[in-house]
Amino acid sequence: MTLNELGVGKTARITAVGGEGSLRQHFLDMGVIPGAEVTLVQYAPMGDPMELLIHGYSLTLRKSDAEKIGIEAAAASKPGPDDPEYALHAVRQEHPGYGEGGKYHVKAGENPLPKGTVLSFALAGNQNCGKTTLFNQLTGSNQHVGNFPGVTVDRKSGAIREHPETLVTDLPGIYSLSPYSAEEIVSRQFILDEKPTGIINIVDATNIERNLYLTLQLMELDVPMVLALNMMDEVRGNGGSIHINEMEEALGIPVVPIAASKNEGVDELVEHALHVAKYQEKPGRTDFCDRNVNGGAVHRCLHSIMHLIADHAEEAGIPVRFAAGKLAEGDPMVLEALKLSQNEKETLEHILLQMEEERGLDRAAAIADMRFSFIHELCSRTVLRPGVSKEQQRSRKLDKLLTGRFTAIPAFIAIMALVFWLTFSVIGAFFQDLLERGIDALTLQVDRLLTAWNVNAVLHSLIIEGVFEGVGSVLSFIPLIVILFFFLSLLEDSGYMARVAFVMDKLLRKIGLSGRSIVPMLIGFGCTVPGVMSSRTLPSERDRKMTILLTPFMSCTAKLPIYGFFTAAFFPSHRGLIMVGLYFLGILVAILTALISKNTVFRGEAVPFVMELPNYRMPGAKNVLLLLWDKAKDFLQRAFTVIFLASIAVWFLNTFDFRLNVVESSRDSILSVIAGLIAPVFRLHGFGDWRVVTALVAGFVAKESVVSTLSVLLGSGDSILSLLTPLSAASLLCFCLLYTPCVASVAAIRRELGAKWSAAVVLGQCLIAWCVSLIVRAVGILLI
Amino acid sequence: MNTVSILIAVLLIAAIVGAIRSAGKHKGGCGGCDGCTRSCEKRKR
Repeated sequence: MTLNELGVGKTARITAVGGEGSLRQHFLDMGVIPGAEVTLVQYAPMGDPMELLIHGYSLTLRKSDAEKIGIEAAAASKPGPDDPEYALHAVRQEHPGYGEGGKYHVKAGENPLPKGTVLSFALAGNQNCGKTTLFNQLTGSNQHVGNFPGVTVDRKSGAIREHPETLVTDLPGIYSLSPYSAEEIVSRQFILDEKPTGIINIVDATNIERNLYLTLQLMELDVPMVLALNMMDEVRGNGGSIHINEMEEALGIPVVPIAASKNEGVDELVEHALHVAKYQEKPGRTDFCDRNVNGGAVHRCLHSIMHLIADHAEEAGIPVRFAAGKLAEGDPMVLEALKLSQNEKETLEHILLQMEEERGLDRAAAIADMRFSFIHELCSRTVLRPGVSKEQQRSRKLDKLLTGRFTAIPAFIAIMALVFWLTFSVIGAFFQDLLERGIDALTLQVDRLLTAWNVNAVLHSLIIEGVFEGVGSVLSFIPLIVILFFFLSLLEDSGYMARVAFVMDKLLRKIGLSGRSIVPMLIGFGCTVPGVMSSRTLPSERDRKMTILLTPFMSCTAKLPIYGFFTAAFFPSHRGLIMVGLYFLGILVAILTALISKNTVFRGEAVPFVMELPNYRMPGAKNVLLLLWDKAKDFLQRAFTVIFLASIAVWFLNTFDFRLNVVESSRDSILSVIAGLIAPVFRLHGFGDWRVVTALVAGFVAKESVVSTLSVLLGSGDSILSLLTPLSAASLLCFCLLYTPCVASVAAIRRELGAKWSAAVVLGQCLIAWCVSLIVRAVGILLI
Repeated sequence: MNTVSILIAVLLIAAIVGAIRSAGKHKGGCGGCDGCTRSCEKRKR
C-alpha cells in the first residue's frame, strides 16, 4: 500500500521511501522515514496536493510523490501527558549552566580566543521557527518577519545589543545541511567557509522533533553552539514542558528556553552564546549513532568512514564526523571536496553496502533513521507534549473554511477582492483624496508666494511645474501603496500565504509551476524586487527562473499612480473596474507566457511540493507597523531623490532648446526632438506623442515617474484629454502594465539570473507590451 | 535676479546635490530587504 491510497483522517506507518537523489533526501530530512507515523489530514480543493501530519507538524505532498512512499496500517497514536512514553524523567538534574560550575562549561576544555577577537555567530534554524524575530531581539534591528517558510532570503548581519564585539548573521531557514535547496548550500557553506566562532541554533519547541534534526547536523560540525528553544510560551500555554537540564546533558550543549517574540530568555541565551564562543567550548558530543541500536551497523559504518577519510577531511577543512555522515548519505559535494582516491572510494562503497545489508535500509534512510531514533529517544525522556495545541486547533478550524474543498477558492477570491476593494475604493482612496487636496493647496500657496516675491520666471516654473507637479503628483499615492502592503503583510504574517500555495498548486502545475511560486508573485503585487528575491526559496532552477520571469507581470504598487492618473482622466466612473481589469490582464499574460515557455524554454515538470504548513498566528502589530513605516519611508525617499531628480531633468529638457534658450513652446525643446525619434513606434497604438514617449522612458527609472513626467510636460490633468482618446489611453495603460520593469527590478533579476536573462526580460516584456497594447487598440476600434 | 530668487536658487541646488547623494546611497529595493541595496552589494564584494 502506498501513501496516496491512505484515506482522510487515517493513520499509517511508513515502510519505505522511494524516489531518488536530493528529493528523496529531502523527504528523509523532513522526517518522512521508515517507521514514522503519518496521518492524512486533507486534500487540497482540487484533489492534490495532500496535507499530512507527521512528527506533530503539517507537511504537504503531491499524490505523485506520495505514490513513492510505502505504508502499512497503524493505529492513531495520541502522544500526551498520559502516554508513558512522554512522561518526564522523575530525577531532577543539577543546572549545568554557565556560571554555576556546570558540566558544559568546563574550564579544562576551554580554548579562549585572544582579546579583541570579533565573536561571530551564525543564527541557524528551520524555516519559520522565529530566527528573524530572535535576530531583531538580539541586534535591535527591524528586519521583516513573516509566517511563511522562507521569508529570509538573504543573510543579514548585526552586532548583539550592548556587545559591539559581536556579529550575528541571520541565515535563511533550512531543514538540514543536505544540498536540496540553494538556501541549504548557502547556509552550510557559510558555516564551513566563514568559520563563525559560534552557532546559535534556534528551534521551534512546538515542533521539536523535526527541528532537532538540523541541530544534530549542526553539532556534527563541531563548532561551539547553543540551542535556543523558541516559542516556549506556546508550549507552556498548552500544558507542555521540556526538561531543559536533561536535554543539556544528553546533547552536551547549553539549552536555553526562550520566547523570542516576548524577549523572554534572550539575555540568558546571549550570555551562554558569548561564553561558548569566547572560550571555544565545542559540543560535548558529535556522535549520535549507538553501537547497541539495530546491531550497531550504522555506528560501525560511520566510524569506519571517519577513520578512512580523517586525513582528507582535515586537509579539506571539513569536520570529520560531518563529512562521514554526508558521505554516508551520498552527498556529491562533500565527496568531491574530500578528493578521495579510487581505492578509498571503493572501500567507502564496500563499507556502505555492508551497512545497508546489516541494517536492512538504504544508506540515506539509515542515516536519517539514526538521527530520528536519537531524537525520538531524547524527546521521550525530556519533552512533555500536549496532545493538540490551541494553535493547531485554531488552524484546523480556520482551514476547514480557507482550504476546504468547496470554500478555498471562493475564500481566496473574496479575500483578494476585499484587499483590493479596501485599498482602492475605501481606505486608500479616502487618504489619497485627503493628501491630494493638501498638496494642491500647498502648491497654490507656494505659487502665490513666488509671484508675490517676484521670483525669476524660470525658477518659478522650475519649482511649480518641475518640482511640485512632478513630486506632488506621485506623493498622493503613498496611502494606496502603504495600504496594499499592509494587507499583503497581514496575509503573509497570519500564515494564509502558505495555504494559498497549497490550494493553488494543482492549478499552477498546469502552467508548469509549483504552488510555492504563487508567493513571489503575490509579493510582486507589492513590489517586483522582493518578489524576485523571494523566489530563491524555490528548490529548482527551472521553477526559480520561470517564477522570476513571470513576477514582473504582476502589477506592482508603483504602477498605481499611472492607473490612477489615466482612469481619473478617461474613465472616472469605471475606475475600480479598469484597475481590476489591468491586474487580471497582467495575470492572464503571465499565464500565457508560462504556457508558451513551458513548452519551449522551460520543458519539464515543476518540482515536488514538499512544504510545511505553519499554524495561523495573529500578526504582530509592531511588525506590521514597522513594515508600513519602511514602505512609506522608502516611497518618500524615492519621491524626494529619484523622482525629484527625474522631474527636474524632464523640466530642464522640456524648458530649454539645444542652445540652452528658454523655449516658448515645448515643441521646440530638447526633449521634444529626442522623444520625437521614438514616438513613431507607438503611432499605431494611438499614443505616438513625444510627451507620452518621454514619460514611458522616464518610467524605466521608476514607474511613478510616468505620471510625474506627464504632469511636468502637460501641466494639468485636463491637457491629457486633448492628447489621447479613451481607447488610446486604454492601450497606453496596457503598455504601462506590461513593459519593462523598473531599473531596481531589472537589477534584482540580473543578480538572480545574470545579465543575459535580465536583458531578455527587458526586451521580451517591451515586445509583449507593444503587441498586447496594439491588440487592445485594434479590438477596441473593431468594437466601437 | 532679486535676493529671494538667488536664495531659492541656492536652496534648490543644495536640494539637488542632496538628492543625487542620497540617490547614490539609496537602497533601491522596496521590500524590507537589504539584499537589493547597493551598499549591500559592495559589502558582499
